[in-house]
Amino acid sequence: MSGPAPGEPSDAILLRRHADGDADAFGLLFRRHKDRLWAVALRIACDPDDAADALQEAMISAFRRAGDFRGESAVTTWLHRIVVNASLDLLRRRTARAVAWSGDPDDLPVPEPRQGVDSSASTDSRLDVDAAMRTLPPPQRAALVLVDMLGYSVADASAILGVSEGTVKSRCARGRAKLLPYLSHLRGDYPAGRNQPVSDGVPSEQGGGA
Amino acid sequence: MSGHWPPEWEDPEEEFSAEADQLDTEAEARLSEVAAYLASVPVPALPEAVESRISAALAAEAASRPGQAAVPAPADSAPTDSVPTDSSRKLGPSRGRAPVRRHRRDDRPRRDFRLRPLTAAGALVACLLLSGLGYAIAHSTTESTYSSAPAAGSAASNAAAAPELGNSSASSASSAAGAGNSSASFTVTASGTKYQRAALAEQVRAKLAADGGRKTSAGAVPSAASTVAVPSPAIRGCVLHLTGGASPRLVDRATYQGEPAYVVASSTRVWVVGLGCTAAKTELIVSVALAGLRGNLRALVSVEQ
Repeated sequence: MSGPAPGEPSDAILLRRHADGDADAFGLLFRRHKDRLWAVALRIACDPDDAADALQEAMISAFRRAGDFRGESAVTTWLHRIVVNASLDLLRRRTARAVAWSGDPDDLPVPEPRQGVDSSASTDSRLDVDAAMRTLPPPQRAALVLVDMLGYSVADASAILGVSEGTVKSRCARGRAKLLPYLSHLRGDYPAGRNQPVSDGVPSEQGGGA
Repeated sequence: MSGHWPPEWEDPEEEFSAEADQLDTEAEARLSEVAAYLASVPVPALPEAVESRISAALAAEAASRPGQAAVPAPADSAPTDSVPTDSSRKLGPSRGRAPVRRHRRDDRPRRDFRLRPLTAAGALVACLLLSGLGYAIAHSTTESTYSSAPAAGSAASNAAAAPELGNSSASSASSAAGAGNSSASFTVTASGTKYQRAALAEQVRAKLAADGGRKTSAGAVPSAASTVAVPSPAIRGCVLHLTGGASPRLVDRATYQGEPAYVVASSTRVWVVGLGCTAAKTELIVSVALAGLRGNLRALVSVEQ
């Protein structure tokens, strides 16, 4: 993903042009943010095929509802929220059909491991993260994806997820606690850089954190 | 947003958010390491195949745009695209929360009200054209063929054979208008197959292979034992939305995990959707790859089991 190049229109202008009938505006908007939107869908869905379905549904929805965008949030917030909702909606529909829950958190279904992935293999830490993230309830996963993995502030994640900042903090804290046993062997095995959020196509100065 | 989640996603302790601020120093440091590690995970790039697929879907959407641009979907049918109304902030962690502003812009006409009459007229014209086209095609084909047309009229004529397929509504009319821009044609079979999660791709592959010899000019592959019907505008819009406008290889009304569903297959993917699937709301249950490494691996696993 990259922000607008010098002279390129902002996200808000592109969305307005699309709503006014510009055939190319939405495509440019999609290409501008595709990688981060893909990351959101992929990390929440934990499956490339599901993520592709969710992202496609989200983009079609955004395409159709662009005229409803009132500019009360950043376009990126709006797009991220649509992708998050599409991803959670896909998981929700699947969960509703898959299991009848007993009420005991220990009975929650743990998604089957991705084929070819050994979560104990420290040689590929990225796969460890993928496997660990799959153990989290989707709402916690979504909060961690936005705040920790993509660098959004708690306030921004709150706006995207449609929950209070306290809830985002709580989900992040509980999610991290659950991930700790899975990732403790990777301590110190990471670069210092953090992923940066964007605002209307422009990277923000700092990441978030709960 | 959490109100419509399954109960198993809810964390009963989540309400006590103050606990997040009361962690001891050691625990907080350990959790910070987790956060730091997660922050270092690189953002994956969107695969080209997925980008192409979505771009094609958007192109198909753009092609059908004039007929549905100003038809607002019901709020409950498109829950994913509601705009956050509790914040007017732009993204950026260092800025404070701005006050909520919910102005109505009364000084300018609202777009949806401006276009609604035009849209209604467009939809009416589209329906009339499609009905006429469907009538003409229905009378130009013999009863022994399986080919279909994207027509609400022909769908209605087949409603007796498969009543649920001919269910038309305002939304399906909208879907028909959009789907009508695609030349793809297909039929819907009702094979009665009991598709299962573990063997979905294998079942579909077997069905496609078994029916390959009977493939019709319309592109669909009805089994000899299947009931065949012309798709309703709603399911047509649903299918073309899934395939990005291409003709499917299979659209089968059957059961999946014991529940009624449509099974839609292209050359490379299988989608299972609810019976209420439309272009606007696909009710996607599951989708799996039909070809390629992933599909082959699943096939191998199912064979071993």
